[in-house]
Order: sequence, then C-alpha cells, then structure tokens
Amino acid sequence: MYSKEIIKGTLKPIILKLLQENNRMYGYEITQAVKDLTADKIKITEGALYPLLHKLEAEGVVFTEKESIGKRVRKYYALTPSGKEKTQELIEEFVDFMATMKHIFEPNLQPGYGTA
Amino acid sequence: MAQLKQHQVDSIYDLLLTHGVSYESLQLDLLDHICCMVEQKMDNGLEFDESLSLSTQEFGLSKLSEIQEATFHLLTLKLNKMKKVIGVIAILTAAFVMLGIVLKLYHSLGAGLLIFSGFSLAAVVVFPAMMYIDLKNQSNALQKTATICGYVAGILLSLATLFKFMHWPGFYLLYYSGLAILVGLFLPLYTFRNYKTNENKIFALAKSMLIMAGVVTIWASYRMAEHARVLMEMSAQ
Repeated sequence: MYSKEIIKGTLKPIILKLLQENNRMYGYEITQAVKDLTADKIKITEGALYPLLHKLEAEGVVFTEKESIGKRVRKYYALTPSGKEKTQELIEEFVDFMATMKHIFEPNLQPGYGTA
Repeated sequence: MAQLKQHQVDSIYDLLLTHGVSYESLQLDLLDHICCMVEQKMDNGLEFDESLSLSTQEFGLSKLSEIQEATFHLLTLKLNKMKKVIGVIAILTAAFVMLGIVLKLYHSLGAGLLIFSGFSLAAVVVFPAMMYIDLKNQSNALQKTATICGYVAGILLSLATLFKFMHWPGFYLLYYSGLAILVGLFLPLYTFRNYKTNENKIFALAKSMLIMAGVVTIWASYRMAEHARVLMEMSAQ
C-alpha cells in the first residue's frame, strides 16, 4: 500500500484511464478494478472516489446513466466527448511525467551525470 | 451471485440517512457501493447481517457524512472563488455609481466616467454573474424564475440609466420593460414564494411592500425630475 502523499494526484488519471478502457463503470467496479490491477497496492477509498466523480460530472468530463439493479439503482459513469479529449491529454501528460520521474529516481539510467 | 432483497436494501438506505447522507445523487452511489460490498461477502457464505456489519466496519460509518462534505466542497470550490471575485467587482461597481452621482450633482470632473463604468459593470458583469451564482444554489423552479426576473429587471434598469446618461436612444423601452418585469413578474413571484415558505406571513408581506415602496419612489423621483426639466425648458422659452 502506497502512502497517501504519493497517491494524491494519480487518482484522477487512474479513474479517467479506466473509463477510457471500459466505456462505462460504476463506483464499486472502479475500486475493484484498481485493487486488481495494482495487486492491492493502490486502494481507492470511497471518500476520494465519489467526490471526484461528482466533480468530474459537474465539469462535464463524465456523464452518468442510471440503471435498476435488483432493488436499487446503479449509476454508471462514462466519458463525454470533450471528456475523452481531456482524458487523452491527461494520460499523455502523465506518461511523460512518469518518464521524467524515472530520470530523477533511477539516476543509473542517466549516463555520465555527475561523474565527469 | 447474491442479490439483496428490498428490506435489506432499505435497511442500508436507512443507514445512509441516519449518518447524514442527504444528497440524492451521492445516496445512489453509496447505496449501490455498500450493497455490492455486502453481496460480495454473502457470496463467500456469510449471512446478510454479518456481511453488513463487516462492510460497515471496513467502510467506517462515520466517514459517510465526510464523503458528502468532501463532495460539496469540491463542487462549490469553483463557485466560491467566483463569488470572491464578483464580490470585489460588485463593491467597486457600487462605489463607482455612488461617487459618480455625488460628483455629478456638484458638476465635478470624472463623474461621467464613474457613472458610465458603474452602470456598465452592473449590467454586463455583476448582475449576470450574481444571477448565475444564485441559480446554482437554487433548486425550486418558482424561486429560480423569481431570481431570473429580479436580475433581468436589474440589468434593464441599469442599462436604462446608462442609456439616459449617455443620451442614447432606447431609454424608454429599457426603463419601462425593466419596471414591468420588476413589478409585474418579480414582485408577485417573490411575494408568493416568501409568503408560502415564511413562518411569519406579515414579515413576508412587509418585505415585498418595502420593495414596492422603493420602486414607487424611484419611479416618482424620475417623473418629478422630468417634470422639473420640462417646466424649466418652458420657462426658458
């Protein structure tokens, strides 16, 4: 399990990436998918997930569809057309960010720096 | 896969209510979420009661109201920033108008610029932005309509003053349509809504009467000013 400090800021890209891959998902499904994909190393709490989903909805990045499941209503979240564009941009930025982090945290990959 | 019965879903819903989750959209999310957790445990052979108590332990019931607060916080964050900015502009606008009118009475320099910027800002920036913010916070259709009428009247009357001051044509149209919306639409809606929701009916009526008195005063002082101007022109001839 990673510390909160490190996970902060990755939540939004993770959720948007999942929605990009899966078309539409409900909240519980998202938490389970993250758990499975990260082998329990990242657990998205409900306290972080739902406020963020509602904010993304208010910003027009995602929209919801309601469906009756047994005796309750399930809300599915999916990307809007403009949300899809934003998601693509954010993912590209995030991948670039990870490459940059690698330079800093795996200095062996950077030949010659500081040895000349 | 286990599927919860109506009374079981209801008992989880009651749990949400007693722990302060009142926002409907979030209720649906959390109800489904906890139901999923419980069903998962029932699939592993546990009874409903046991599954529910385990799930609520994992979840932390006290966290439920925090989730709602966090949601509201994120949703209103942008609006609060906007409120601050608009607040500052509104204070400046009011100051421009007041200072401009006083300077105008003494025929001082700068009156024109202040009055022009004051009423332009009011009509184009302050009232529309305040209307947007108020509408975001209101859910009742009647209240929303009253809000729109009130601000539209405010915008029209500000424009009327601006047009009058700049000697642009169209003053009468703006002035009378503004007054008509204010008296014919806003006041009845505002009075009706206040009368219905206010415990103290007399107080609700008093508020509307005071607004009406203000409107009549403004209307009358404009009429008197016009009258005086016409008399002066006649005596000059």
